[in-house]
Amino acid sequence: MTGDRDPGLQALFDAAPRASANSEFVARVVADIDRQRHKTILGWLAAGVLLVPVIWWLTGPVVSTLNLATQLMPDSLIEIETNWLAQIVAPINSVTGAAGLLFLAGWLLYRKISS
Amino acid sequence: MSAQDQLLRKSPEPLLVSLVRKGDHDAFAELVRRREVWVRTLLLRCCSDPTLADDLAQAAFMQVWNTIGQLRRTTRFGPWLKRLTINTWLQHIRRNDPLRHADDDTDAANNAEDATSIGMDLDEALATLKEPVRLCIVLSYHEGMTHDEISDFTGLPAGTVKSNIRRGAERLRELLAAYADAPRGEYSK
Repeated sequence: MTGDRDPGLQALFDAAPRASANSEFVARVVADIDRQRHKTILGWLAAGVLLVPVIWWLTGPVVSTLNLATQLMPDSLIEIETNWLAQIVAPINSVTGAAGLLFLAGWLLYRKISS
Repeated sequence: MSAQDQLLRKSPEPLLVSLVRKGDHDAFAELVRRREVWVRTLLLRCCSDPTLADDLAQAAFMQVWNTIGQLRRTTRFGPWLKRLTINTWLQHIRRNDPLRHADDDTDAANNAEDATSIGMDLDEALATLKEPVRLCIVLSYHEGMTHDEISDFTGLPAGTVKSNIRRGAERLRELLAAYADAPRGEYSK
């Protein structure tokens, strides 16, 4: 559908003056881009400076937590006495398996919500 | 003008867009130079305020710089820029003048009475229209877009677009009646 335009109005629109080319406008836009880039660089620098002490402060607790988690990873969630059954469910009957399943479920949920 | 500038002046737009995607400032300046008149004029028809139109055009071009990576096909830069420009205008309306949509026809009629002088130009006439009506009229008459395209760009139902254009055109015909009697050559520039 092209629309049934009024020819008189169309002629007015066609005849209406357009904005004139403005080199100052172009310069202003480019200057804004430069300013934005400088701000971004300064922002990253500031974030880096702030992050250094935070990382230094957190390194100890994070390493301890990771060590503990690594030790817990292979541990069974449920003790199964029957040997063959324990071996079958071993991939999911551990902290690693549970974490993996949780991650998978979260990812599928995210896909469902975002689609 | 440097040799590089001369080269950019002759470069096709898709090439410029590719360069801008890689962060080339000179290519971006050339892209802005080529498109600024069109973007500023479209926004001027939308808002009837040259200063505001320039500010919004500047914001639109900033958006181009920041989001050009999302443009999949460099040959589609024109339509993409048009959509981005219209979105800039729509965002401005939502942010600054939400009650403008609530204008009733009585207000429009009062504005029309104030604005019946022969010297009234197109932008002043457009300024008396409600925002969605004006946008539909500008996109139809200024940009030559179809009802379906306008519906797609603005998110308005096709029926609303059609009625907005019909009502807007009626209003403009009333406001610009003086031009209807003048020979075409008198207002052609």
